[in-house]
Amino acid sequence: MLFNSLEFFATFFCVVLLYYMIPRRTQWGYLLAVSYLYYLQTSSQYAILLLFSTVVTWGAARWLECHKKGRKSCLTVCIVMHIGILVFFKYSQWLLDSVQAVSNRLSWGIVMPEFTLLAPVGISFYIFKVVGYMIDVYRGKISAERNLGKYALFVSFFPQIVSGPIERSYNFLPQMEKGHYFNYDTVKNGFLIFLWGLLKKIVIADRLALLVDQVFNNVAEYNTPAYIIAMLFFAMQIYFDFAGYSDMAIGVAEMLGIATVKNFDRPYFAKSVGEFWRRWHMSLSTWFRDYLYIPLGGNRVSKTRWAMNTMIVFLASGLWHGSNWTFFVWGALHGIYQVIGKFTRKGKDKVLEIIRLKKESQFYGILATGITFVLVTYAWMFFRANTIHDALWITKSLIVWDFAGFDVWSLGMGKQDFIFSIVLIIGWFVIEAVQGKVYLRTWLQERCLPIRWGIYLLIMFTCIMFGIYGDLAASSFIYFQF
Amino acid sequence: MKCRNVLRAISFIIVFCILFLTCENIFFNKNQLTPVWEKVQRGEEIDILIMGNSHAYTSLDAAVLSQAAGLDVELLGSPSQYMEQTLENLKVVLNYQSPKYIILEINALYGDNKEKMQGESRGFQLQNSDGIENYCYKFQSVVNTYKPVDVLTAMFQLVRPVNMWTRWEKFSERKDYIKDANGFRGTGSFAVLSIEMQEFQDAYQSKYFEGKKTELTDYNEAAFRDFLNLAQKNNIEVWIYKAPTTRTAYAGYTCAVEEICRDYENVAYIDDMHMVAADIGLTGGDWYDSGHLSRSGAGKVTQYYGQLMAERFGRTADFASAFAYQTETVAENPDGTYSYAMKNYSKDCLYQFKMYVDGILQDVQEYSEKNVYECEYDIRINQNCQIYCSMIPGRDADLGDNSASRIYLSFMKQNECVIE
Repeated sequence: MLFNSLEFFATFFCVVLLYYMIPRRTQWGYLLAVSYLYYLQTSSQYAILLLFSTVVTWGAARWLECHKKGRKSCLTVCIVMHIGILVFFKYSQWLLDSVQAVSNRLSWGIVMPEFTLLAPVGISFYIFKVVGYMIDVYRGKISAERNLGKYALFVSFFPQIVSGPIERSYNFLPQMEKGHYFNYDTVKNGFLIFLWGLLKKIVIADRLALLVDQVFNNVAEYNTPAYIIAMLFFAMQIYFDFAGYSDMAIGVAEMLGIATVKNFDRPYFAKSVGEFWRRWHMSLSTWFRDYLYIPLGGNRVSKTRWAMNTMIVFLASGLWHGSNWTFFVWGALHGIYQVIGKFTRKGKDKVLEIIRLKKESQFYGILATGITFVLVTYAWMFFRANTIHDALWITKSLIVWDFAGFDVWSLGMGKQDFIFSIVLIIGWFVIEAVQGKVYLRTWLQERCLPIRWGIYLLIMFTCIMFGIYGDLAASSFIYFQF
Repeated sequence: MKCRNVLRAISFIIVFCILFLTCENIFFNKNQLTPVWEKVQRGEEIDILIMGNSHAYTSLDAAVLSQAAGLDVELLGSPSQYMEQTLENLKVVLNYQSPKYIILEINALYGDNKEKMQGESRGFQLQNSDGIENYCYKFQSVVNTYKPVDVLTAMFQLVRPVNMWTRWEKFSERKDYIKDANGFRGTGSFAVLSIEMQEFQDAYQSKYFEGKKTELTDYNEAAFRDFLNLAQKNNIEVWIYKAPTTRTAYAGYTCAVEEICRDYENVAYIDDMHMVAADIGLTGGDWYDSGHLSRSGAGKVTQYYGQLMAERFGRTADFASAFAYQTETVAENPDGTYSYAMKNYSKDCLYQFKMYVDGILQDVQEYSEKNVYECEYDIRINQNCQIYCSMIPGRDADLGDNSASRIYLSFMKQNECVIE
């Protein structure tokens, strides 16, 4: 059941209604039941795995808190077990295929087994949640949760289970200690955030997908300008898709009175790739920072070691997104960007000094943002391409330009939709630019009732009238596959 | 919660609902079914009602049958309609009308039911209740024919189609598009090999004469029996009609239908057009696809069925001036190009012609009463290019360029052989 389906709207309305009607001390239990029902409905055969992971990490965390000896071994076993589960479900077939491909090329004559295994929905997200929780308990940053039910709710909380954000236990669990009263403003705000996310998803992201899918699924049929447009559109599509989903998840949680972590902060306004990662999928970036990058040594190591650590983190991040070499290259590219950025910093500063361009100037800001956007967009191309071969084909076409016979209207999107998409993207970036200075929700709350209602209704009817509904079923989210 | 907040929330919902219903009415997408529902609900007397799914509305031109029978004939058919929907449609109709006869096209009996509707058909099936104006009747019909999850989508078009906003540009002209077609929807031609058609025909007939019935599914049989009971209760004579197809062998089902009908006194005729395909004169070019007739096929079947109806009502059927279906002529010019002419005769229609080559629009003409389109195109440019002309009569206009009204040029395949 997707957030952008009528089925979800109707069910969630009933869930919220009942949530505020039942005694407050039972609210967490009710949410746990709803979360498991939601998961059963989405991925019924793997609910047992979710339960297993929950019980094991809850028990292990409790054990860690009570014992002084063998703590490291316990943590290691737990982490290896969970990463093993993730690798088994998500990467085993890909690894076998890769070995088979190498074997075929080198004529080793090895025949690897083939099996079809559907990865459990949201496995990448909840495994990271529980691993983070274990490490936090081990480090003594938090106490182990005593109540298995509340911990199970943290792991399976339905707005986050499928596509994040990857919540931290110290943000979530304290909110379960007390019940939640119905608060008109909280529910209203949650609804508005949800609506905002819905707009991003069905009006913008799904519209852009029409062109992106057509070009990336038929790479050989197009040439340079088509690839450039498709790359730009995909950079926007993935942002609006995932940011839209995150907003919906945050909005749904807020309607239940639960505050969740922010996941995006206008990433395409970043002036460097490093800054981009502080603004994009923040819950994942901070997870890698806290549980991988810092344990590897962080910044406090030699430059060579730092470069290696950075590459490890970004390669892991790439593979986390999917079992395909395209994701691996995407992660590697971001790692290389970071390493080159650091190693050329002094030279870059010197050049800026010679041409007397200050880093604080507006021109530098625009230039840096533009360059960052181009780098990130190029990397997204690997993320979206179906195969490495397709990505290399596009790269070649970007070097040796070919404009012959280009027809912008043959890219799978009608004239109206194309122009409308451009208007939407520009409009949205104007809004985000303004949002950097003025917090829109606060601005909106200060307006008089007719203006507020007018804007609410405008958003709702934009979703209804301008939304792409696919073949009458809600389109799924890109990040669901992870 | 403060009382003021409750009032605010309620007021907001009311404003939203008013705006929603306004938009629903403004952007309401009419199809060939809509004028029939309108007529039914205006209470204008309808003598004969044809019911069923796409096989009904692509095979019988109700306007022509009206002339043949001297009675008012309307066709209430919607795409991929299943028997439960047909039953619910009859219930709604009976709130406004007392038809004397119902012609029931029985392909609806072989399809899905509400539990199974999914995929591509789902979008079509949701259109069935669109024309019902009374929200109480509509809700009742929708609840009985769709799963709970589809109720909202079936009730309101606004939460259904893609890009509702693009209707703005059509809005001003749309009123003129929909003419009174009595529910018939003509489709373009697609050639089925005559030998294939004959093989199917022979197989169908032999199976039919063997009389081996194929059991209907429980839900379809129950809905069918309810339909016949309801008709009997309202003194309606039911004529069972089976439109011809060229693929799926439904002979076993037709036998099962015949057996069920023996339990009912109000079932007067069972006309299986498969059995008389040769008499009707159907050829390979009379099809839109393997299951549905094109305009020319519909013309032949309508003429045949109209003759039967005229006899039934003691009239002399004269179809000479009543209708003539689309004609296409292709002539090779001395310079090697081809001239193509398409002519369409129908009732009170505006026409728009579009010419495509390889999916790209080459020529478009405004809607007008001119019913002949002539063009010359040098097809030697590319032997394999896809050339087709689309003729959109007013009645089909809202279906858009990708609709069933595409007509593939019959000379396309010949080219590949003739021209080097």
